[in-house]
Amino acid sequence: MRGFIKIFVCLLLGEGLTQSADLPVPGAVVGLVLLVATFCMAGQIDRDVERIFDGVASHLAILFVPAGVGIIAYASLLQAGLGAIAIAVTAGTVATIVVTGICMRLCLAGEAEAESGEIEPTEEKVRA
Amino acid sequence: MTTAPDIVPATEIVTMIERFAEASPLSGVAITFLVYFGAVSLHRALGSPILIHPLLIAIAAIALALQASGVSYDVFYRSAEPLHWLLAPAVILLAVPLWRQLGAIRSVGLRLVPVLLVGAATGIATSAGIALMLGAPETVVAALTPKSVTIPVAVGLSESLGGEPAITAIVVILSGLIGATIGLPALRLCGVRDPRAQGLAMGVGSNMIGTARSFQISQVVGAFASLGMILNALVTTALIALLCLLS
Repeated sequence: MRGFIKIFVCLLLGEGLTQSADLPVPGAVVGLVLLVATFCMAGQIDRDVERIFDGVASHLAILFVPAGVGIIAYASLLQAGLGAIAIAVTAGTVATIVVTGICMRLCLAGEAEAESGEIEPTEEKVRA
Repeated sequence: MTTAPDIVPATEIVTMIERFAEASPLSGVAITFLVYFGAVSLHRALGSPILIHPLLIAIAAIALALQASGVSYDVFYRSAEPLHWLLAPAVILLAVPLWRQLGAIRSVGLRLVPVLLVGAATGIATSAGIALMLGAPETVVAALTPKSVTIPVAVGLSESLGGEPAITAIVVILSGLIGATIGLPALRLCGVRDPRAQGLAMGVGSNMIGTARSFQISQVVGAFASLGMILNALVTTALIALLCLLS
C-alpha cells in the first residue's frame, strides 16, 4: 500500500511540475526521476515499490494492447505513409544502435588501455 | 409470430455487443487480459521466439476480432482504457531497474553522458528525419520521433507531441524486433565487441525487446541494455522538450 502511495505521489508531482512549467514532457517521466531521487536520498531502494515492480514487471506489455489495437483505426493513414515508416524504422533503428555502440566503444577505449586484461564485469552489483 | 427470425441480423449483434460494452465499462479490460494471456501461452508453446512477440499476437487477435465483428475501435478502447492509464505508473516503476543498474552506471561514470546524447539524438534524427524526407504526414512524424524509447514513455511523448499513440506503439515494437534481430550482428560488423558497448547500444536503439535479447547473450550485456533503455528514455524526453522550447 505504501508503495502505491509513493508511486502516485511521484506521478502527481511530476504531472504538476510539467503542467505548471508547460513542458511537452510526460509527467510520469518527471515522476520517475523524482522516485529515483528519493532512493538516492535514502541511500537504498524502497522495498514496497520494489515488490510492486517485481510483481508486474514481466507483464507490463499488456498495458500497450489498447493503444496498439488502435492501429486498425489508422489503417488508411498508415498505408499512405507505409514506405516512409518502414524505411524510417529499419534504417533508424540500425543507425541508432551502430552509432551508439561505436560512440560507447570510443569512450571506453581509453580505459581498456589503462587497465588491459583487468576488465571486471559488474555482474554482482548489477544483479543485486 | 410463427415467422420470428431465428437469425439476428449482424448489425443488431454489433449494437448488442456495443451496448454491452458501454454498460460494463471494464469489458475491454477483461477481453484484453484473456487475449493477452492466451497470446503468452501460445508464444510459450511455440518455444518463445523473439520475433513473434506475444504483444503482437494479442494486438493482431483483437484487431482481427473487431474487424470481423464490426465492433468499432472506439467502443473497445473506451472499455479497455483503464489499462492505458496504468502506463503512467508503469513508467514511474522504471525507477526500480534504473536503481538496480547503479553499479553499471558507476563502472563507466560520466563517459555515459556523451554516448547517451549522441544515441538519443541519432534516434530522434534518423526516425523523424527520414520520415520527414520521405514526406510522411505530420502525425506520423510526431508518432515516429520517440521510436527508440521504451513504449510507456514513447506513447506519452507521442501524445504530448500530437502524434498518434497507436502508430507509436506499433513502431516501437517493430523497432525493438528489428534491433533484436540484426542489432548484434550489425554491432559486430562495425567492430563493437565490448559487451558494455553492445548492451548500451541495444538498449538505446531497440528498447525492451532488444534488452530482452541482450539478457540472452550475458548478464553484462543485458544490464547495460536496460541501463541504456531507461537513460535513453530520459535523455530523449529532455531533448524533445528542448527542441519544442526552441522551435
